[in-house]
Amino acid sequence: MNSPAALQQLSNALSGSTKQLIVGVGDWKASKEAGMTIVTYALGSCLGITFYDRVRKIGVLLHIMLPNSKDHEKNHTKRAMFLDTGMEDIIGALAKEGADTRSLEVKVFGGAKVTQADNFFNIGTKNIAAFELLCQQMRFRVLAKEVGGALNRTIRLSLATGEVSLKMPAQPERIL
Amino acid sequence: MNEVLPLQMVCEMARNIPCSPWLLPKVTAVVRKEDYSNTELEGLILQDTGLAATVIRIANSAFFNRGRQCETLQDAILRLGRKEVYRLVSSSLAQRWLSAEVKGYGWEPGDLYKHSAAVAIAAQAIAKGRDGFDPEMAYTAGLFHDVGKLALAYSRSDQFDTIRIYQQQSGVSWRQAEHDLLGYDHCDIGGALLEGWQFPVEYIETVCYYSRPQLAAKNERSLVTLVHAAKHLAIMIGTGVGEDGFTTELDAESLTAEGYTSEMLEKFMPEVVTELAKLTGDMK
Repeated sequence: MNSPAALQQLSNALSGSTKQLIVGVGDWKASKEAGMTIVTYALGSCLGITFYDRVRKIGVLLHIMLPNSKDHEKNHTKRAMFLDTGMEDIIGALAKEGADTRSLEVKVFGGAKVTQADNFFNIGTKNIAAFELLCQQMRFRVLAKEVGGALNRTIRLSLATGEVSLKMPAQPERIL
Repeated sequence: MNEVLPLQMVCEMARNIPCSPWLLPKVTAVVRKEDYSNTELEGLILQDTGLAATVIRIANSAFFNRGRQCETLQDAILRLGRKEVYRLVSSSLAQRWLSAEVKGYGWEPGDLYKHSAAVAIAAQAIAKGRDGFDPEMAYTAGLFHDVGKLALAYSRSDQFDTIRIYQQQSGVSWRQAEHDLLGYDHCDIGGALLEGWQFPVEYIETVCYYSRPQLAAKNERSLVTLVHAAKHLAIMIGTGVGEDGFTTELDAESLTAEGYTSEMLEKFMPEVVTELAKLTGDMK
């Protein structure tokens, strides 16, 4: 336990604090650090998708905004803004780390219906449908799905356990 | 319900929040003249030392610096150009006001400014592709659309639990819940504040009616509907959206009448997220 990383980990454990990575809209972050938490705030119609490799203790959190990159021009865009290209990048990165995609624990959150009108801005529903189709094709194990409704969601993935804490306004935090 | 404060009292209390954007209407009036001089613009900006320093700092930033330091505000205005200076002035003044630490609407620190900036960027992006709009004005209208929320949270946060329960039980919009319980809502307050600061009429109309554009005056309805569309784009993106956000009224009829479709507006989302990240740093 003499390396700086180990000392930092010990210090974090003693102080009860954990390190945190924040994922913005259209972004993803990964970590192998046991004391790390990956968080994304205020999911509306966007989806927050967590991937956890329990054997290698690798965790990833992806925050996508739209289902399909092919509907958008290439300028102003990042691949992680879209479900199709975001997932492609993550699967590629995890495969390089030796992860078996079919044993990944996948959890999905968000996809809220942010307006009352049916004919405008129904992206949440489109995101959920696209995610379900992709999971079928990729044969992912989806262990938790908290989607839809008119709710704003904040999620935190713990690298130590693979658990995701879910916070919604005026409701107690839940662990999934 | 505790004692309900009259609207005038809420506005009066809000005027105690530091850094009100009182200078912006004066700058707007100058830049709208066909033949204004940079000296006029400089004279106004110099009334606010912090603002003048910001303009010089941005002119010397890596993005604008062309190998020679700007020593004076005059140099900085020349380098940035009038449009960029106006955008910078409105952003700086709005940010100071909208970043005041006030609790309400389930905000985390900075949420109101980030959401307002998202609406401003979306409004500007939509305006660029349509005839008859000034993108800079659309940007500023978006930036200030929720100004009344800060005033209401500042003076009446004790009422928010009651408003929340009433909204959830009745299923009305949060704005309507404010109106039913207080006799006014954040749009009314925002309108009164902007009127007091002598903002141009299109900004006042936007603040009053962005959630119900069909009520806006005919001359201003197109801009108000544009900000309405931008508001919903920003809500979908989610950044800085308060607990009231998903209950915001959607006026599909006005959007359709102005030729907006869901697919057309969704295409702006990647651009808005990219520009917002540049403006606010880390997204959330």
